[in-house]
Amino acid sequence: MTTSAEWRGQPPVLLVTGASKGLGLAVSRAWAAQGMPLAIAARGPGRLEGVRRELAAMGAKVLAIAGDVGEAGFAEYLVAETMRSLGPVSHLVTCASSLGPLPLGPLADISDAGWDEVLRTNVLGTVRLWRQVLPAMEGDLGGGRIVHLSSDAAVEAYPHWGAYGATKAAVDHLVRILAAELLAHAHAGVLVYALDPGDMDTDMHRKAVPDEDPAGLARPEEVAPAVMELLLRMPALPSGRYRATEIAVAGGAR
Amino acid sequence: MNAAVRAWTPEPDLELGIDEERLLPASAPAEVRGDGRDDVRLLLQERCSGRFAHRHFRDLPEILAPGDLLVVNRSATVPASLPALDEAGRSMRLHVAQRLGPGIYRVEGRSADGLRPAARMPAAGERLAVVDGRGGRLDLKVLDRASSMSRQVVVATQGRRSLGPWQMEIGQPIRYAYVPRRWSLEFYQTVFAGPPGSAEMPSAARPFTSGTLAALRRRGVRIAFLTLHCGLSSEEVEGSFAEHYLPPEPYRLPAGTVRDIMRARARGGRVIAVGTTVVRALVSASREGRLTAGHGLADAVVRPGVDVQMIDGLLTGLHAPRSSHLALLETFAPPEHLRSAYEAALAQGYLWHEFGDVHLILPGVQTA
Repeated sequence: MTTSAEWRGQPPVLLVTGASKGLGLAVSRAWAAQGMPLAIAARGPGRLEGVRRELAAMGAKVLAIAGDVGEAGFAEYLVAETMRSLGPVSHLVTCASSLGPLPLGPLADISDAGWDEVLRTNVLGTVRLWRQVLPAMEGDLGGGRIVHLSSDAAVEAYPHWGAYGATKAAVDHLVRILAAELLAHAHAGVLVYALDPGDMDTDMHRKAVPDEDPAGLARPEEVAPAVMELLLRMPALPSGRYRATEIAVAGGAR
Repeated sequence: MNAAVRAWTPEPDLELGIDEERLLPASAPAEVRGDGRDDVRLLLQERCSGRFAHRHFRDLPEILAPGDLLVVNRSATVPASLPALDEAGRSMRLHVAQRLGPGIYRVEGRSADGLRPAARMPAAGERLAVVDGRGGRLDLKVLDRASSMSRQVVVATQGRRSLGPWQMEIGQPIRYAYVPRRWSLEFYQTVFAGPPGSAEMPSAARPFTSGTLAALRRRGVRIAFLTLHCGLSSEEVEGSFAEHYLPPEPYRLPAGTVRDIMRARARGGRVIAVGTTVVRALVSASREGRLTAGHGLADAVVRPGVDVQMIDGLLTGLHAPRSSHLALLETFAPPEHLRSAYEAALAQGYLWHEFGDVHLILPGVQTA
């Protein structure tokens, strides 16, 4: 594991969405364990407060903000407040995500309202955050890393995963476009990744596939080291889409 | 830092159940209506309990305690309303919100008397002209809208000439329909007025007089300054607050003021912002959890969820529904407290707007 506590002279600041559960929580813990400052966001304030206390007890500076990335204005607020409390966001991990209406059903059954929620959360919610963090990464920071939590549903055609799979695929493609734009504009220090974690035992997975035995699934804390590699490895992995199992974790943590 | 979770909601309550029609606007300056600038009422509200009492602005020194610090915006008002012609040669006025660069300004097109928005918003590429009525004119080209959510547009002057001399020569203070006659610029300056640059008066400080200052000094209340040049207040929030356009405003926060704030807090004094502009400047000037002296553009959108911990109290005017100021007030008092205070103010005939009465939200005050 790279333990660089310095990011080009600035202390690195991580912003994590979907931070109160699953991989977002595991990444927040791994980051805080290194004593680096972070801002955590999630919809429910109750669970988030528990996470905030845990991370603060680890000695990290933590800013916790409850809100919905699908709402206009939240990304702007989140990044501005992180800037004011901790400094510019140098690392962004977007785990906040919506499956859409449950139980998952055929494509033709997904209503406009269902689509609206999934598109707002999974696509707009992610792109709005990029829009807010990129100016500092391209400017004063001279670098930064963005990790979008993708899914194998973005590649495979799983029945009933239409809204989720399509929006994950959309953001995967946007990751590639952003990577190309960053190179075209000579911002080679800003790296952007989509990470396919493989099937993980999370709240979300249990909601989507209630009958599956979770014993065969990876646990989020087993995937978090791969995210930390994307965030901190020097020299960085090239921008692009990765499967968690492809990323060699130094020290054989997995 | 590491304080509890901050909760963000997309929509602050910008109505407070107040119908604009019920507001009594102050139609003339307090010194004309009564016997001095400081002859206005003061609605005193305890910050935590929400309890309130009806007081007078002249009670301010006794309401405050020795060791308290007032932070005041000393930006002076400029005569920002200019006579102009639209592309078809019809009379209009331009309200100059802010200078963006040499010869580049953000402006709002207004009706010929300036009291209402222009019937049609000037479009990109259109040509306008500032005219002095004596044959002098300065042509302007509309570059773009300031934002899709705004009536303001960005204009460039012919030859990138400054609008400053035109404002000094023929500009008038910005006035809205609830003030039926014109008042000269000095009615729009506070006793603190220093560097000029505000399109509209930072009006919370308007009731202060030299008498107030002397009484505050005797009481042991200190005053510190910053500058934030106010833009236009004419745009109410339509639709979603999250998408409302709140342009940044230039500010300067002196190192001495940062020291005064730290010292007051360390000694248990309360820091009281005089006006919403002071709150915006202080929030914008905090970086990485610390208040940082310097200058720049105040870009904070102060709304529930924003940390105003360094500010204990707020002295402000009474604000109209749908104004972004109400979102800022809700960082000091929850909407239900504001609603009950505003209902009481309406019932008691308080006067709204820049020449009107004031509202002080302060922790630890007696309201019985």
